[in-house]
Amino acid sequence: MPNPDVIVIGAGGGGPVIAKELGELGLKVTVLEAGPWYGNKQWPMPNKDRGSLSSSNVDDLDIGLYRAQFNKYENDMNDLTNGKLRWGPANRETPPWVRNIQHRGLAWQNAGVGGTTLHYLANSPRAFPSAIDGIWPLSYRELIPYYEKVEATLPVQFAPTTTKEELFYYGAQKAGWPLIPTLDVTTSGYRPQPNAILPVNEHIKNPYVSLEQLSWMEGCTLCGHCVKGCPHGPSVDKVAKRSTDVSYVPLALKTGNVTIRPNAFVIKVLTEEDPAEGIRTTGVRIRDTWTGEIEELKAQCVVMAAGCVETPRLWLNSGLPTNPWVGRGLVNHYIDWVSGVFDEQDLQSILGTGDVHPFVGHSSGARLDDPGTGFIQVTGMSPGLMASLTYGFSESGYHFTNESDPHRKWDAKGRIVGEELKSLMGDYRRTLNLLLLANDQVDQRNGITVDPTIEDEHGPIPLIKYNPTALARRNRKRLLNISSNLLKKAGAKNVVWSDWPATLMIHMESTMRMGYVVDTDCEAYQVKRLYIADNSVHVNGIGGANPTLTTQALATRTAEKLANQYFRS
Amino acid sequence: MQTYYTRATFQSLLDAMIPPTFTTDTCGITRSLGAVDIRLEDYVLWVLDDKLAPRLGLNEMPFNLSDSTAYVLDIAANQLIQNNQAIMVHNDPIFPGGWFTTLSRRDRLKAVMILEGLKVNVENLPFPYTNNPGFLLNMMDGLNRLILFGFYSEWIGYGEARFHPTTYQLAFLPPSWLQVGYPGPSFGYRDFRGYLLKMDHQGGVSYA
Repeated sequence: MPNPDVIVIGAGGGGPVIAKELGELGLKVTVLEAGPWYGNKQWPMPNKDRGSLSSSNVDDLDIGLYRAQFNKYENDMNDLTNGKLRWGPANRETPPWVRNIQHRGLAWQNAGVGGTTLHYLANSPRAFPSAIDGIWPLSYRELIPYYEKVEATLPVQFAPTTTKEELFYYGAQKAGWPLIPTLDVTTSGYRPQPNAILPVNEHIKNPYVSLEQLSWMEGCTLCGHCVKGCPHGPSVDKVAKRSTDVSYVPLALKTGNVTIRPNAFVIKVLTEEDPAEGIRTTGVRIRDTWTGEIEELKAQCVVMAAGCVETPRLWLNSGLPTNPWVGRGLVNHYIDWVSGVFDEQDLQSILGTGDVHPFVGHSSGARLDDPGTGFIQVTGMSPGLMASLTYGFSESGYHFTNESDPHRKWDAKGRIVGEELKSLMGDYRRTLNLLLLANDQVDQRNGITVDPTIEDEHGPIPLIKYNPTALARRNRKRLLNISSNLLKKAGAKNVVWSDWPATLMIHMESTMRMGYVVDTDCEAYQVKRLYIADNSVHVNGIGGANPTLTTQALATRTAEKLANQYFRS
Repeated sequence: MQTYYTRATFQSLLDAMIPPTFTTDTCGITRSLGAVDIRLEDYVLWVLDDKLAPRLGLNEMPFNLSDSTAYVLDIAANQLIQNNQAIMVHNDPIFPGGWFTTLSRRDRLKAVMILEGLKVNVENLPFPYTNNPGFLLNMMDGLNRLILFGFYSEWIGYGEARFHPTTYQLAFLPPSWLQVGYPGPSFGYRDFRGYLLKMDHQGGVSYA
């Protein structure tokens, strides 16, 4: 493999964005991805056979293959240990990679081209301006052109309304919240999710076009399978949910300058001492996840886009210069889950149907923003995920051990099992789930280190430590009250507060913070030519908003800065 | 291969969390399958011993991760019994094994809570739980999630292929989907109720 101008480590939310932007500027880019590549003819059986080494041809993308692989079954797709979408090697007969989390919880991430965007719900809001201005070394205004570019490229659109969104809006209105028709959120209120999902197919209501026909056409079919990996569209680059493997990856390949190599785990960032620049990167050492072969690849610049856990792990395992903020300052949003169970007759009078239809439409199509506190989003899941997240995951044990409190707005708290579980799951179709994401503060005690005792084939494994701050606890409590009230106002007969542990890690940020580890161009202070393009550079938790769009906006900006700094000619 | 003792312990745990239930309607009494009815313990033991243990460096130990986990559950059960906190103890349990299997469903869950509350002497727990409270917390939490995900997802529907993910082909619908009314994968739905707002990509937002 010839040496490129730039190596990008990781093909998740940020890597393909910077690869596409650099490719369009004429730079030769190689993206190294630890996991498999689905929907590519060079890997017809990506979980069984090693396949090819790399691909740089957009014609390799194959929608037929993609549909066969992304089959919309939740165990096949989302099982954390065996699923196609897991943090682990492509070969599903082998165990997943592990992280050491000394608490309840997990870091819910995927390996593979597309990374965690393969299962993300495509929620693409901008940061809250109040979380940027005066806190970041960049202003919100400076970010806006990059937000706009990403929103147009993906593209991002407001989510359509289906039954569960209509019920959410009904509850929000009843609770007195206003609609906020904006992308730049400065006041509290509800709005449709800005999602990276194509608009609904215009024939969705046409009974003469079958749903299967619709699934081969451009546009969302409201199938509700976002979290399992959306397979619907006429070609890979026009798949409805815009995970990066169907949005930025095809665009990157179309530049003719980008090569993507899956099954390549980067185990070391290589450096040298340069008389003029000081310590600078010269390339990477990689391990082939199928063969175990080790090789080195050189480049003029390296971009780390491996995510909030693996980027600091790689820094630490590479022996790069000590920095007290490497891996430190992890924020996760203090996440929680509240559910409302409704009576069929009540739903009928509000919605004209007796069901919430949690498995229909965008998996998350509506939100309520509360700047400074965080936000609440309606979330619909298939039953395995819904049951485990709603009734199987709690900080406060089993519901029967928790005393009831008549002053609370919720009716049950904690895990629910036994006959009560069976009964509640019998109401699955009439249950509305709300995901709460509380704004958190950076605390240097939270973060990623490497385990001194456990190694895998790529070195010491990550050790994740996270305890929410007092602010996050206050914020989550407020969101709990707002959610419970909204559900009650909407008519829920039974409100269940899951009380999630803090260490369900799905919105990790700030482990390689701008201003501490990287400069405002996202270049490492201590290692020249080494850039970062993932959530880890966020200065904070951006107010609690979903982080992907901000990472993609920053990656777009970083591409400009990198090219200008080292490839001006 | 797990011991009979281990399998019985996990069956008891599954039975406490997702028991068979009965509903009465005009057609008579209907039995709704529980986790043991679909042998979900196979899924849990497979994940623990074949998927997690190797990554924790436990695959060369003389016992399985599931064996030590069953023993940990038994230690908590014994503590519950010794402290007279168990409401009743079955002399003839459905899944005969250790102390844990003799407890009522509710008390089996209380035993899990003892472990989650770290109300045991972690020095006395078997490897890899010995002096490892973080791992104990993580495992007890993971078991709860795993059992519910396994039961309410389609895993059992893969039939003979259920331990070989690369050959998964759904052979039948899982009974849990019938219980909850989930229709399974879909090409789409026509439940479109319009747009509340639209974005025009010139930075603007409009009412639809």
